[in-house]
Amino acid sequence: MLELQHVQKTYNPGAVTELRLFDDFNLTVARGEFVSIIGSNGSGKTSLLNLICGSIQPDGGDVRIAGQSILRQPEHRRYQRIGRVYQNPALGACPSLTVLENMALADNKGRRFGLGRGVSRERIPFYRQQLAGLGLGLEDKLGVKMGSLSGGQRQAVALVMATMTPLDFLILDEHTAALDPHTADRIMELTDRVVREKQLTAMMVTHNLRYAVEYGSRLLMLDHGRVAFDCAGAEKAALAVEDVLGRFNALRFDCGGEPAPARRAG
Amino acid sequence: MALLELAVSTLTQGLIYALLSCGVYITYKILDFPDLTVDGSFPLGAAVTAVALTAGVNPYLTLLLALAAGAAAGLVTGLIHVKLGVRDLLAGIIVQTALFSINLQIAGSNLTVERGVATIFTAGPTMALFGGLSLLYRKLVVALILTLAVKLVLDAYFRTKSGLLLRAVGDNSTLVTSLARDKGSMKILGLTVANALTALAGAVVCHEQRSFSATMGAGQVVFGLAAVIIGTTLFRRVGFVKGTTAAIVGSIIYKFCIQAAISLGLPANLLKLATAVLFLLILVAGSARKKGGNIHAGAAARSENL
Repeated sequence: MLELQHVQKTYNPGAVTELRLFDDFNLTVARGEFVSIIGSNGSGKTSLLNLICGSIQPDGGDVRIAGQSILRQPEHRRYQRIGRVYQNPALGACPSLTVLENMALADNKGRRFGLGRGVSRERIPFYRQQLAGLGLGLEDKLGVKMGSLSGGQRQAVALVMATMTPLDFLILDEHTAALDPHTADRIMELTDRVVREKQLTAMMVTHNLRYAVEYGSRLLMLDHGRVAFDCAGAEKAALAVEDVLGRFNALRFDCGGEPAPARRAG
Repeated sequence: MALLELAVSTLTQGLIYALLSCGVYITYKILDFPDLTVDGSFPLGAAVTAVALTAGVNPYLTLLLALAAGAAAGLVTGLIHVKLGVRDLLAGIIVQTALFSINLQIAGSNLTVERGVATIFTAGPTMALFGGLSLLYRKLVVALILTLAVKLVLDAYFRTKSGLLLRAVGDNSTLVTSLARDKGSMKILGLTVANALTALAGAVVCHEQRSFSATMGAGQVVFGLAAVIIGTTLFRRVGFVKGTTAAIVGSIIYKFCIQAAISLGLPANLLKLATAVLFLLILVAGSARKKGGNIHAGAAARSENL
């Protein structure tokens, strides 16, 4: 279980560009939930993921996993139990290493990287099987450099790599946004299958309302660092894209009168 | 005959300096870290060696001492960069500058190893194996063995788990964090190994020319970068050639180019100028061929967005 308790986060404190994003932000994600997170730019989606993964630290409040605060853990320690797929397919793997070498790296996550053989031959059938599950023919491209694969192929491998070892959380950071619509659909289906098969707890930030509605067991809409809409279970299952779009637009009208503070994309 | 001898001695130089270019290969090509420590750690290796040889230390043991000294220098650069957050170029400059004084403290501004002192090229075990060869060829054989040994060890290391992770750091440091590993420690490790090799090169040069000079480090970074870029550019299209091989071949080609320039009458005072011009040409030629390839993930790695 993940808990964010009374989280405070202000960007550029004291400066003209000061932006108080989270003010007493609270969120609980139960084990096994697949949460889709939507919201306009600057609503705090990526900040939320970064707070959990440790790329940024909150100014106040607490982030807990299974009841234990993880605030003191440096970023790389938190990833022992967190897998993350990024928007940029290049970030999920090493372009100059082969697919096989990348799989071997991911396979060793959480263990020591010592002077043992980097790629163990006995594991190759397992890697093949994992890649074959993607249905992209990648199991025959083990010797190919990652950098020469297409964006969609790379993102598929990144997904396999991120979920190869046991995880508490899978973080999906707009992971279909850089792909063409067809490939994005494909990756989204694969994601859903992997999350179900491995019974992962997942948090997915997306700008695609259809994905947010169709996939996942819970939908969260963020606005200016607040949870504007949160629904799960049967209510989520009955949700249609139009409903979400309506709520989304309503939010925009609400703050249509006030000038939006300058924000970076997010 | 004189030409052949010149070629052999140039080849020997190329092989010895290949130890340095292998080090630069690790920092520049693998870690994507322009490490300027090299200009200090190269003479550091020579200084330690000159003093140790003069003090009667076993000549083969001096190589280990140089390795350790260079490793310490690289470790300091790594710690300054990773733990204190100083930028890569500046961290290297700081340690390079500090090393200049340290080298002076160790060995003074010049130190000549006396004729009677045995070096790795003249000591008993070497003579037992290659005593039949003239000094010129013995130097070539010893340099070849050392360089090949280092190359094979490095190649084997790059295939280990730790080696794969090291290659991942320069390629995509975000992935290393995602793999729950500290990318900083891997950078420190890479810098340590690279500078150990650089100091080893300095040590062998000291054995070869029987002297240390405080200024012998000047321009070694540029040499190392040039050698690595020549080698990797040359073998860009040849997939099976390893990076270490490219660095070694690059070093040899470079030494031959410079030797050719000297033989054609280039005044020694203009050597560094020629080096700089050659380096610029290589960079421009290399980047012209590189266009359209190789997008570095590291640069776009983390965008701390809202």
